Amino acid sequence: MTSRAADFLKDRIDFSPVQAWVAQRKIPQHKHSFWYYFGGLALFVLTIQIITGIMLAFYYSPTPVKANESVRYIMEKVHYGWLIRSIHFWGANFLIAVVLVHMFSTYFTKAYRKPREIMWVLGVIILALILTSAFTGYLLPWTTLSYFATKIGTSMPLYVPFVGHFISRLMVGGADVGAATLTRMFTLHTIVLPILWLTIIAIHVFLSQVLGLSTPLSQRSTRDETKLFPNFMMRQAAVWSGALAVLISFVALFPEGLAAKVNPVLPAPAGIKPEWYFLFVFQTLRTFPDVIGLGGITLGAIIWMLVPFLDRKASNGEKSTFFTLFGVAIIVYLVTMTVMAYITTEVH
Amino acid sequence: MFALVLDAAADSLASAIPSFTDRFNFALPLIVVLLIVMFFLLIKVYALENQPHDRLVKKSQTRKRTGP
Amino acid sequence: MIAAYIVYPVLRFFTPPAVALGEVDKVFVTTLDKMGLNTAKFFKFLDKPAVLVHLPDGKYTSLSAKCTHMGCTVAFQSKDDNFICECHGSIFNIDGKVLKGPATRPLPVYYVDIEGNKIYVTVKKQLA
Repeated sequence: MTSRAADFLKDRIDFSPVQAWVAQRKIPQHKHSFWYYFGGLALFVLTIQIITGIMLAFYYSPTPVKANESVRYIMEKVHYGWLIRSIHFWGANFLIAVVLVHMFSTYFTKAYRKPREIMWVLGVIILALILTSAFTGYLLPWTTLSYFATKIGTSMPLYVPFVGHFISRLMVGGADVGAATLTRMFTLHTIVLPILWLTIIAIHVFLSQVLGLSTPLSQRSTRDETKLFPNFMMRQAAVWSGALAVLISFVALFPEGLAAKVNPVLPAPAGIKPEWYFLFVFQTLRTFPDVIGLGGITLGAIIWMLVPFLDRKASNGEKSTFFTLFGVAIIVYLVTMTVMAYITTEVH
Repeated sequence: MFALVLDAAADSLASAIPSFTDRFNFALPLIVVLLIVMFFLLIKVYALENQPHDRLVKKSQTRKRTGP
Repeated sequence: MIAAYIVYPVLRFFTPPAVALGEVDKVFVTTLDKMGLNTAKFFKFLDKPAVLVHLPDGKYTSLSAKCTHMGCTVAFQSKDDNFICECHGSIFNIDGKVLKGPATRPLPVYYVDIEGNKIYVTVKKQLA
């Protein structure tokens, strides 16, 4: 740290308050500390997504004529194009998985309780934005599957009373999914959503540093803690390193291919299914009448977001078994629907 | 006819992704290095926290935490 | 007031201009000789997928092929003379009526106009 550049900066800017603040930052240590690493891991995977996403944007072209061809060009002609695109594909899957683990660990340790209600609400919004990023990015290769996934996603708002048609039309940008939809999804995926989630994540992370990390109610008697820097950060970096090794393994074992360009006139092919993180929505739509299914998911998401304000017991430092059971019920529903979607063969 | 053209395109893509061996020749060194870095960091932090003097994990009486 | 001046034009900007339907309410689909008995042809009509079916009894019918549930394009099943949406499993009969959910509303039916060898599909019945 005695390099010339560091000295140059130190001479001009006083870093001592920052250094003092970092030096005194502590992370609670107990048997559930393991879950603390998932927030930082999500940030790491998100960074990979931003870098690979920008790289792909150098070659991608968001028009129905060129979209699939430009992705094909990335895969076939661009040096390491298959690698960058596969990392972006697997990174998206990892990111959603990590964010889900982060959310459910926060939920079951009741870390959302006072004073961290806002962090929880922002976290749920971040999950929604990340899923929207996955949805909007899905159309970009312009394949049959991505085309029909977008048709379904843009049809769902039609069941919203009063403003549904307007919202759907806003998403599609025309009578049906086409060129206008592709530019809309591209703009959302590459500009609008990143600005939104980066802003909200910045507030979320800022609050996590101001408020410190929550200790689960069951672990309040433990007084152990570790320094944020260097101890916690070294372990966090170890987690990042291991996670990147796993990500690269997935990329090498299962590189993402590219399906054929969609012919928008032809029917949806048999056995069409969304990605794993949307299977519960898919199965809900097949199992329940439209308004009940979509209304139920929307209502569930709103209640989920407001849990810190409903769970008064946890805020008072008491056990709240009801909300633990509610969380278990949500997981059981998500897993059941996902498994059903996997095992049900086509109904003809 | 249209389907045939698409199939041909799919075939060319399959050949565009490097073979399993090539992918692993590329990825394996990176994976090994990442795992070494991971274990290096874990060992380092373990050593740091288990020094007999100046333990960095302490039963702290003076801890300052803003949250419950 | 100022907020309205900002919000309204922005919202209007993002709302795509409506398509003038008057000029495209009739479309040429194919010719009689290309439609075998009990076959279907998919085409774009009013910017949406549509289907023309040559029924086993020799008649022609045309419907919107956009599933009324979530908007996927339905497939024609010649063995049962019905339409299936592979996305969520809805089935419609040849008149567009729902045989099996989750869809609840029928597929809109169009009119078929045969002029010589040419088959047209229209929104309104033509006065021949």
